[in-house]
Amino acid sequence: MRRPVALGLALLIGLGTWIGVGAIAADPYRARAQTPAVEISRAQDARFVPSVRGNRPIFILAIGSDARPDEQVDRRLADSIHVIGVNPRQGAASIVGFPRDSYVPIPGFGEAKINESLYNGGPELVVETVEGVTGIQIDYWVLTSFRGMTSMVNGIGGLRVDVPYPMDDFYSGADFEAGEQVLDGRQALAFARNRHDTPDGDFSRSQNHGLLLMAALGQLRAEFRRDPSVLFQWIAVGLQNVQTDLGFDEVFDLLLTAVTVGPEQVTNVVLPGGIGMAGEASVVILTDGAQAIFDDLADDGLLESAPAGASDGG
Amino acid sequence: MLAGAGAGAWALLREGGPGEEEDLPVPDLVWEVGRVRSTPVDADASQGDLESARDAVTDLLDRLYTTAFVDPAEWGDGSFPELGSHFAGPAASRADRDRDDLTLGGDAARIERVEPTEARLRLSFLVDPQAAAYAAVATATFRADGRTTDGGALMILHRGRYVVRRVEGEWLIVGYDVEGSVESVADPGPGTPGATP
Repeated sequence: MRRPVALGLALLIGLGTWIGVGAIAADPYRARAQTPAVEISRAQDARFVPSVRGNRPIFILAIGSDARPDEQVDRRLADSIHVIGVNPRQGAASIVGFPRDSYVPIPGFGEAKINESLYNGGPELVVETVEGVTGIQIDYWVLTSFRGMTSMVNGIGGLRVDVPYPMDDFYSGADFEAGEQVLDGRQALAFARNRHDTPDGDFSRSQNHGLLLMAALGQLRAEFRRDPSVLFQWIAVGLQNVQTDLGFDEVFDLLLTAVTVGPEQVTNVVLPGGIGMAGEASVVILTDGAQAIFDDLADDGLLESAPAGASDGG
Repeated sequence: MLAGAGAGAWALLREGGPGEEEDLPVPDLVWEVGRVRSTPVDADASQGDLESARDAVTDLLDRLYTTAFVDPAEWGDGSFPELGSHFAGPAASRADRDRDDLTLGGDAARIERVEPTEARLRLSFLVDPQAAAYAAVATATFRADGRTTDGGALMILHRGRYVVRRVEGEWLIVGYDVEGSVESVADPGPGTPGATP
């Protein structure tokens, strides 16, 4: 005679199977309760809570450098730039991708493609640039490279990704059927780099970077349910392969908060823009819709105009 | 309290003075701690540091379960006033709301004593870049026999997975996921060893 207190808790879908059914069924004490004339009968459960305090959203800038091995990671072009808004109170998040050719003001360097900001001034200048464009104060930055990303994915035993469409791209090496599959580090990098065999070129590529982040979040959450100590492996692997201005306490608290965010509570969008020319160079001119996204994101880190779980390309 | 194999043994005996009602003895809670694992970000912690952290986290869980289940003097008629002292950060306020899930809850008022029969702990540590034990996941399994104030027998099971870390020098719980049950056990009938008339 067991009465779940909060049967609907998502965390207990997996955990309840492990503890509530498996353990109780195997409980030798059950055999003693031959006629359970229950006077006191009660089940107990609770769940992990976000570790980050406060109502203020947290904004993290995730930067992917195109540095190859032996190149300085923080002085190359930024292949990937995403603002991640986290709302611990609501257990929800947003991922906003910048097309790497977005033509924006870079403090001290005039107007240029946003990816040059990393080359010109490292992650701090990328932060300054993004803050200028969005009006959002970035709390932390995280920077990785081709090698770092490959190592991270391998370090967590591969990443289960729902590939949105078939890919066969010679340049990146992306060769996938559509559908959910486990990618190793090399494959994940190829998936992330592919911009030739996608519906919308670099916009789709940025969208797929967001998909990788969502896949990682979902996988961390699922593995954490089975064994919370996997959090430690993810922290160790992550810190071995990124540069960041996050302190160790903050990394720990953020990841402990991340496991409370369901992938269905994450919105993944790419800023809208049109193709233009700046001199001889083809660039992306962000449209008015981009400013609307920034305004929407700024107050709580979430995109109310896009449904949670949405994945909307440029 | 860190110890080897074995579960609860009656130990601490708190006796009242002349004319006072004599308290029931409080069972000692003895934890069986399995192999300790560590995940270093860089270099691993020293054996001594891990052992020290293991003892501290075991002591934390020992105090938590003593408060929540074993020592009636700490139940406060179901309010468990010391419960929050084992938690930190947002988990502290959450623990207050989850009191019924973390403890005997409102049933405490009807329970006279709880005698642990099994207390097992698995520990996994995160070792920070300074090679110090930084956080741990503690997986606790707690079983006990209980007795209600009207003489009924209970079986108590509680399992918890606790994320703990050092907060200002003290190991405290910063996240948890728990489940358990308190169930009546039918009288096994006369002639059965241990039966209660």
